[in-house]
Amino acid sequence: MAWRILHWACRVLLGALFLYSGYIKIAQPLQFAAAVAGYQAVPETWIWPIAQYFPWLEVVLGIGLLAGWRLRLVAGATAGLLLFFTVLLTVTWLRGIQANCGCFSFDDPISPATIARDSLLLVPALYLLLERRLKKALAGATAKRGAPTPPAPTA
Amino acid sequence: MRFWGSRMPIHPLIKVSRILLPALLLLLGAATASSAQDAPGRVLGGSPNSPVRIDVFSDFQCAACRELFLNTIKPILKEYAGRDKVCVVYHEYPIAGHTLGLTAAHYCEAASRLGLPRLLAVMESVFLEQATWARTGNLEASVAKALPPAEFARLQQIMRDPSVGAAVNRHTQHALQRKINSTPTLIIRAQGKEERVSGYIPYPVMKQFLGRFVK
Repeated sequence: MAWRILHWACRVLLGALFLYSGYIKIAQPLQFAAAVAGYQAVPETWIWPIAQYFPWLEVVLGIGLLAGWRLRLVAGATAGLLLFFTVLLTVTWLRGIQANCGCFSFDDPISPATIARDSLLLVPALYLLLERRLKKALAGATAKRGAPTPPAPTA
Repeated sequence: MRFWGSRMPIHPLIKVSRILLPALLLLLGAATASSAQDAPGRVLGGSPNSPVRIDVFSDFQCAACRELFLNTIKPILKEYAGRDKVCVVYHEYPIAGHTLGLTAAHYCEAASRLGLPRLLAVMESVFLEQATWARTGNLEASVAKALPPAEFARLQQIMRDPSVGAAVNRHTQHALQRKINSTPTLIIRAQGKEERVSGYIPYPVMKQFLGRFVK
């Protein structure tokens, strides 16, 4: 039961966050473009295409996480994206650029707090990705000790 | 039950509302239009009937405002405003504590009374030399560079008029009413929609965005 709650909590948390994040960017494409420009990481001609299409990727991942379709693949893509964001935020912060994170709002300057938040979001994404292995490993460890095994993985 | 098209007697209340409702809507529309016209702001280019309107809230002492004006607003004025595709309206919004920014806003308000070409020349010079006057405090020299001596003398006379400060105050109050909390902020209206953007936007991005509404 606890595994199931954890599984759904991770999916709902990440799915809702990605849906919300994609929605605000689709609603304010130019503001998101300004945020992308602030990172000074891509050529100016790439900024508008990124601002137009990237939010849809977040929406697709959000729907995928909530619907549970090809969950490991979606969780892997989500973890990869979050890892990319974390590296990008860290590099931008280290370069001393005062940019707007543009992650979940447009009034959120990059700081150690935003980096920590994105890093923490990696935890549920990695859990969903490695859930089976984790449960198997735990089941193996429990069986070795002779205790009753936890329920078989469902997802 | 009665349906449309049937010859039913019209209730007196409906009769009255048929006259009152359009009148009310007309009054409401007129009030909105007049409030939009009363809003302070200087048209830097383009007709007010252009398909896109960009309201710029900016401070002369802010670095991002400088980048936005020189690298984005100027090309927009050249490429779009000249063909009445975009109307650019500039609003002074000197941030509290930016005393030189406030003085620059006064100079530009005064320059606007000498005509649009003079205003644009002064704005460009003030933004171009931002780093210099911010360091030396000699803003007057940067303004003087943009104008012939006789015009600069006229500008100095206009600067003594208290209505200059009052006009800049109206700009600031308008920005506060619109809940602008950072500079530069753009409010872009096109096809009945409005988008608010804070921060610097490179011209290629703006061009691609404007391409959705104008060619």
